[in-house]
Amino acid sequence: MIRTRALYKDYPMGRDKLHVLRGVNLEVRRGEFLAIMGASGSGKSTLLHILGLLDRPDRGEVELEGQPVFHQSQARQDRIRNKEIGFVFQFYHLLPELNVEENVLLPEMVGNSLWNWVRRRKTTRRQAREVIESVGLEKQIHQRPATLSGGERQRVAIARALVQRPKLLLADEPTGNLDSVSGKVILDIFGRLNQAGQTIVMVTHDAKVAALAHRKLDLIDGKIQ
Amino acid sequence: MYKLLLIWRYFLKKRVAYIAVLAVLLLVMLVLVVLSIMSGLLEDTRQRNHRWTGDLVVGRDSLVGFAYYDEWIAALQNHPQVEAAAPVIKTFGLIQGGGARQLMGIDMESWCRVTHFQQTLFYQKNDRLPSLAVPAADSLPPDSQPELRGCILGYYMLAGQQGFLRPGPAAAKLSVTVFGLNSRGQLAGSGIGEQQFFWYVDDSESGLVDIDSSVLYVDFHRLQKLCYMNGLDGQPKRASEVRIKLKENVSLAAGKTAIAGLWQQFAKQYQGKPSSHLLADVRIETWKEYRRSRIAPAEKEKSLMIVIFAMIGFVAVFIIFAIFYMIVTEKIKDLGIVKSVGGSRLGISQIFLGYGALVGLVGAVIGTILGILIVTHSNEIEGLLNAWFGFRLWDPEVYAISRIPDAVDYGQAAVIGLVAILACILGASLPARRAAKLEVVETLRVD
Repeated sequence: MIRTRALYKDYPMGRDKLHVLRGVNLEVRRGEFLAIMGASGSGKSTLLHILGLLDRPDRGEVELEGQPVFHQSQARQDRIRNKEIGFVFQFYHLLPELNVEENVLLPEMVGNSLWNWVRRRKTTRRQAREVIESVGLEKQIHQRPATLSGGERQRVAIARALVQRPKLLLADEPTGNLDSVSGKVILDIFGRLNQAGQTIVMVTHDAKVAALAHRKLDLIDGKIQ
Repeated sequence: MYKLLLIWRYFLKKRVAYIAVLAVLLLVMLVLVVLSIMSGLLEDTRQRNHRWTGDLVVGRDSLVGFAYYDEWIAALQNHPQVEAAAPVIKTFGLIQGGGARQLMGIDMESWCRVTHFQQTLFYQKNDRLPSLAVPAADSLPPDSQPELRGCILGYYMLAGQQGFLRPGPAAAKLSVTVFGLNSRGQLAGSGIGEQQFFWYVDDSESGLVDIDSSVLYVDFHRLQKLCYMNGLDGQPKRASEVRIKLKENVSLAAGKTAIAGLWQQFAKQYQGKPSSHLLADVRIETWKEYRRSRIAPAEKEKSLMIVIFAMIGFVAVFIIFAIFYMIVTEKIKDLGIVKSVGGSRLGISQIFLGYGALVGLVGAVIGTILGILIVTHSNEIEGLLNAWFGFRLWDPEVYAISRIPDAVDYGQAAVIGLVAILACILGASLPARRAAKLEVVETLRVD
């Protein structure tokens, strides 16, 4: 499904460089639920950002379905990020000016021309409502993010990541900012999604959260152990 | 779709954008009001000058004038592009108690055909033909020729310590001394000047301050005689100028070219004849050229206003730039979110350019509407200010206008609005560029 080949990533620190990733090789199979663990600053979020095409490696390549992605045009990479990858962030990252439904529809709106959007609007909105219902937020559909709890916001973020039916769902500490009850709800959703065949790569430093995954990998000093 | 949605939501939710709208609105409104009134005043100035001058002027700068003007007028009257032609004598005279003034000798009938002189008169505005005849002829000395002894004063020459007072026709007389010149430019006659009394019969308010404050109109033939230009020295009769009115469908440029060609033929025809040297430096000018010293300041004033408002426009663009820079800084995370779901750099910059265009559009539309309302109701607004506070924005005695120009040039209004919108897009372009260049990961780290 997705494979990395010798990923390297450095960040400048004054005159020196911080070597965050030092030749990461990784393969995730279709339908797999992979947890990447590591201490704070170990480079797990950087790895996830590179897998999600939000960042570029200094060296190395990422292959999605056997195709190298960083050799593609920027427009193609934008399209992959829009259609084939869903991203759930620790801090939800919802647009405060849009309501729940509009936030969930954002990838659809970004990925379609105005004409296509108008033409497919009814179908797309129905799909969005189904996703919103699947995360249990049908009653909050017209609410703004500011009026929702942390758990509800994260469920909106999950719905947004799923609305395009992506091949790969990436989650960066999805329960890191939530209380235990809300965290459990989110993990239940991830469990259900994976059972339905969704490929998930989750970054966490919490062993209990990682226990939900099929496979666990530790990232230590920029290398997979 | 997401661009339109975000542009609209940002516009509604960001109060700081209202300040940008207000800046654009005020700028557009101010520019429209000032330019409309300035354009109106300039057009008014042009029209007044045109009405007073006629279309073309043929003449010399010298007070000696030029010869064969009767023959020239006859040639003009046969020309298909000429409607009418009027001879004029221009000289200076000493008025007892009034100092030096310009005297214009006019043939009333032809002068009124070439210019709009009759409309500027107070008593004879509606007469069939105004006259320089003195109504109370009995009061004149028996040897005088009453039909030639009236004079028309420029309105501002009536100004006195008590304000503007009209003495009434034939109720006041002026002693005028004129120094005549022969065809060689030497003092003619006794050399101490010729004195004559003229009775006030009317006054003229052309709206041109330089004319109304210094010109005394008298009969053409009488002034010609006083100036020794009537041919009694054996030389041909002379006039200072011939004013021409062109036919309705003839453009000024075409008329000038045609009359210049006609003059060349005419001057060649009179070569070698007495006083033919006075035909050498005769100039043919349009009314705009003839009155350029009076029109140019108004045009410059308008240009100056445009420059001032262009500078204010730069300030407005800078305000918009600063506001958009603030908005981009505040919305960095949003941009990262949009990029994280597949938004392109172009899409991100389009959001901010569209936002700038919307701010400009709303500001320009409201500013244009308010500007048009203020211009078209400027006289009512001034009336209200006068009624409430006793304050007059435009004193008609000072500006020589009875109404504030209230015509709106809608083409000009559209251009002002369009420039405002473009200025807003320009102001938003740098922040938009910055927004597009931001890296997703960097933007999402902002928390």
